[in-house]
Amino acid sequence: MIATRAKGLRYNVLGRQHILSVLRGGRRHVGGGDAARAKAWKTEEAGGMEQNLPLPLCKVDEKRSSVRLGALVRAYNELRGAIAGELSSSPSFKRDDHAPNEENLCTELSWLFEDSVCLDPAELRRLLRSGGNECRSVEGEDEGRVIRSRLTLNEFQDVWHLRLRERLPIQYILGMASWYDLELRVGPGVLIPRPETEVLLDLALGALGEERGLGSHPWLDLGTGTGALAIGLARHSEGACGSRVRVEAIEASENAAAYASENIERYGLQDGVRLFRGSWFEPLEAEERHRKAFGGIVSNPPYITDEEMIGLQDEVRLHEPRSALFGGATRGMDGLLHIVEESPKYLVPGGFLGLETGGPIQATHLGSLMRGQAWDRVEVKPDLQGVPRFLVARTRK
Amino acid sequence: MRTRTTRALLAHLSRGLGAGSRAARSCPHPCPHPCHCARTLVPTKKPGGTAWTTRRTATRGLAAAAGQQQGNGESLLGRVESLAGLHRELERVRPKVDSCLALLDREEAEAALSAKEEEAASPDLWEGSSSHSQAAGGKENAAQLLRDITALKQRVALASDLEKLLGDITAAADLLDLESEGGGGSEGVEAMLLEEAAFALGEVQSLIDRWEVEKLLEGRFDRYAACLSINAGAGGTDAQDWAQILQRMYTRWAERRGFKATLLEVSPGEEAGIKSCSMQIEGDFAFGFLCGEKGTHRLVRQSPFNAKAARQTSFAAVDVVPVIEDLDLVKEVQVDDKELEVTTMRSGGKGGQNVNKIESAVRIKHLPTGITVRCSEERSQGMNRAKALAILKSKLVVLEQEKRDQEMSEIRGEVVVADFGQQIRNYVFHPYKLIKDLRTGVETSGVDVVLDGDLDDFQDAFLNYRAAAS
Repeated sequence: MIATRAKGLRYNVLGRQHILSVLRGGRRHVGGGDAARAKAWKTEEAGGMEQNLPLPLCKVDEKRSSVRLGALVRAYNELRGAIAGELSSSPSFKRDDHAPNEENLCTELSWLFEDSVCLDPAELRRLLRSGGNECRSVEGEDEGRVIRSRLTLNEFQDVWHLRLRERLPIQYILGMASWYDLELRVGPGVLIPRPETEVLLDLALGALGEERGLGSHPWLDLGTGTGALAIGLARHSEGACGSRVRVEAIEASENAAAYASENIERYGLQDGVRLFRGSWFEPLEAEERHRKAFGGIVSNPPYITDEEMIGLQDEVRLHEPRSALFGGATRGMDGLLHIVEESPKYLVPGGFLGLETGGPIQATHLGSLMRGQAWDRVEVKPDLQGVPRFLVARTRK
Repeated sequence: MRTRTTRALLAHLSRGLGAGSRAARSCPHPCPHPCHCARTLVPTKKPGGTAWTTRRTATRGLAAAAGQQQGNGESLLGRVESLAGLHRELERVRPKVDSCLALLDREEAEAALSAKEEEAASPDLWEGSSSHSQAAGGKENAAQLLRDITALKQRVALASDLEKLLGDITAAADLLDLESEGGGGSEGVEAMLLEEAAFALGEVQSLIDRWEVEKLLEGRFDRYAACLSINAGAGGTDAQDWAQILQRMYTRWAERRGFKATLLEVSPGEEAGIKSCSMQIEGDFAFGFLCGEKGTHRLVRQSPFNAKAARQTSFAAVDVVPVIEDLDLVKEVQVDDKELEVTTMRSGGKGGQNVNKIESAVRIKHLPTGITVRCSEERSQGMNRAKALAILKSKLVVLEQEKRDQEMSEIRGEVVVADFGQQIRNYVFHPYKLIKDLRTGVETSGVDVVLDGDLDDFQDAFLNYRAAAS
C-alpha cells in the first residue's frame, strides 16, 4: 500500500506527459493481459501489489496551468460544437457499433472540464450546462478571470482527440468511474463498472435484508474488477441487514487487482474486504474452512460470446480488457457455468447466488440448468431496461 | 440659525452631496443578509442618481412587503433635511426598533447561541460522520445544529446592528441639538451629521423591512431549499426559448440573493432554448420565497424565431417543491417499491458489458399519483435514482400538505386560494412592456430588471397575499 502511495506522489510531479503516457502505456497491458493472466493463476493475497496506477485527473496537481475563464469557455464551446461534425465525418465513428451519441459526448466533455477546472463545482456546472445547446458566455470581469486548470487548453484538445479519434473511454481519461454511490478509480486494464451491475448489488442487498442471518457469514465477489460489488456490499450491508458483512473479493488479473486494492483502501475498507488473487474459487480451494462458509456469492463474470466480440462498441473492444469481457467458447458462459457448478460447495444452506449474464439466452439457459440441481428459488430478474439479465437463487436448506 | 443650516444643506444637496463618496462607501456594519448588503454596495451608474437611489431601490420591494408607505430615497432625504425632520423620523422609527428588539431578545439569543456552540464543539457531534456507511443520524443532527447556530447568529447580529444604528442616529441628533443651541458650528459638520443620520435611518428601515418579510416566511416548508422545475409549454421553439429565459431569471435571482443554484436536469430544445430543466436552490427560506412562482407563466412578444416577427404567446409551467432534509418528515411518506416505475435512459443495444455509454439518467414515476421525477445530474445511475427518489418524496410530502390544507379550508368554508397550475403571471414585451402578477395585481414595466432576477416585489407581495389568505 505504501508503494502505491509513493507512486501516486510521483505522478503528481510528472504531470501531463505522464497522464497521457500512462493512458497510452496502459493500453499495452490490454494486449498482454491474457498472457499475464495465464501466469497469474496463482493464489496470493493481494496485499503489497506493485502497480502503476494512472492518477485520476481530478487528483492531478491543480496548479499546473492557469487559464482565463473566457478562453476556457470558448475552448469548451469549440470542442462541443465540433462533436456533431466529428460524429458524422470521423472514420472512428463510421462503424455501426452503438457508438455514443452527441448528447453522451456533450455530457462527457462537461465531465472532463468539471474534473479539470478548479472552480466551485456548482458554479462550473452552471456555466457548462445551463446554456442548453452551448456554454453560457462570460462577459466583463469574468472574461479575464484567471482560474486554475489541471489541463492546459491544448491538452484539453489532445485528450478530447484521444476520446473521439481513438474512442478511449471517458472513464479511463478521467481515471474515475461513478457507480452506485461510489467513485471508483479505473484505468486501462480494468473493466469499467456498468450501470446494470448496480441492480445486481440491489438484488444482493435485498436478499440480505430479507434474510438477515446471511449477513453473519462472509460474502464472496468473484472477479471483482474495480472492487465495485465488494465495496458496495461492505458499505451498504449494515443498512440492509444490520451488521457489516465481511467480503472476500477475488480477481485474477494483476492489473485489475491493483485497482481493486486501491479502491478498497480509498473507502477505508481494508478490514471489511479482503482481496485475493486467483481464478474464481481457486484461492479458496486449499482450505477446508471455506467450505459451506459463505452467506452469498455475487459475480459479474465475462459473458460476451465469440460472435459478439467483433461487433462490440469501439470503446469496449479496443480499450477494455478482453479477459474481463470474453466469456469463452461455451456461448460466453465459461465463467458462469463454472460458478454455478462450484458455488454450492462454498455457500451455507440457503445461501444466495447472484449473477449478471449477457441477457435472456444465457439467463434462461442457466436458470433451467440450476432448477434441476441443488438450488431453490431460481429466478431471472430484469435490468432497468427490462432485459432479463440477472440470475438469483438460494442453495437448498 | 436653523434656517441657515437648512438652506446650506439644501444647497449642498442640490450639488449632489456625497454622490461619489456614498457610492464608494462600504457597508458600515457586518450585515447578516449578504444579498442586501451586496446590493447596497453597487455603485450607481446613473448620472443623476446618488447612492441613495441605489440603496432605496434595493430595498424598495421589502418596504412594499412590510406595508410601508416608505417612499424612495429622495423623499426620505427630504424628510431628514432638517433637524426637526430627523427628530420626527427618529420618533417614528424608535418604537418600531424597540418592538423589534424586544422580539429579537438579544440576551436570550446570545445565551442560546453559546449553549449551541458548546454543543457543536463537542467531539461526539461529528462522531461517525467521517466513516462512510451510517452516519446519517449524526450528520442530520449536526446539520440541524449548524442551521440553528446560523439562525441565532443572524438574530444576534440583527439586534446589535439595530442597537448600534439607533445609537448612532440618537447621538447625531443630540450633537445637532447641541450645535443649534450653541449657535455656532460649521455647516459642513452639520450637513455631514445629518447625512450620516439619514443614511443610518435608511439602514434601520431596510433591516426592519427585511426582518418583517422573513417573519412572513412561517409556512411549514418555507425554510427549506427548493427544487424548481420549468417545463416549456406547447408552441415549439418560442416556448422553449421562454423556458430558458425563465431558467436564466431564476438563476440570476438565486445569484442576487447569494443562494446556491444547482442544475439538476436540463433537456435542450431542438433549435434553441430548453424543453425542461430543474434546479435545486439552496439558501435561507429558498422555498418560502419561491413558492409563489408555482404556476403557469405567460409570455407575449414578437417572436424572434418567426420571419414576420408575429406576435406570439408562449407558456411555461413552473413547479416548486421544497427539498426536505428532515428524515422524520420524509419518513412519514411511505413509498412502496411496487408503486414506483423506474426507467433509465440507457438507449437500446445489448447493455451490460457490451456497452460503455455514460447513460445514467433516471426517471421515476409514482404510479398512484402519476408524479414523475427525472434526474441526470449525477454521474451514476444509483446516485440519480437516490436523488430523484428524494425529490419524489418531497413532492409527496407537499401533496399531502396541500391535501390537508384543502380539507382545512373546506371545513372553514373558504375558497382555496392556491390556484396552482393556472396562469399566475403575464409577461408582455410587445406591444407595450408590462409584467403583471394575476394574483396580487403587482405590476411593473421594468421587464429587463425582472428578467435579470429582481423578483422581490412579486415575491414580497405574494407572501403578504398568502399571509392574508391563511
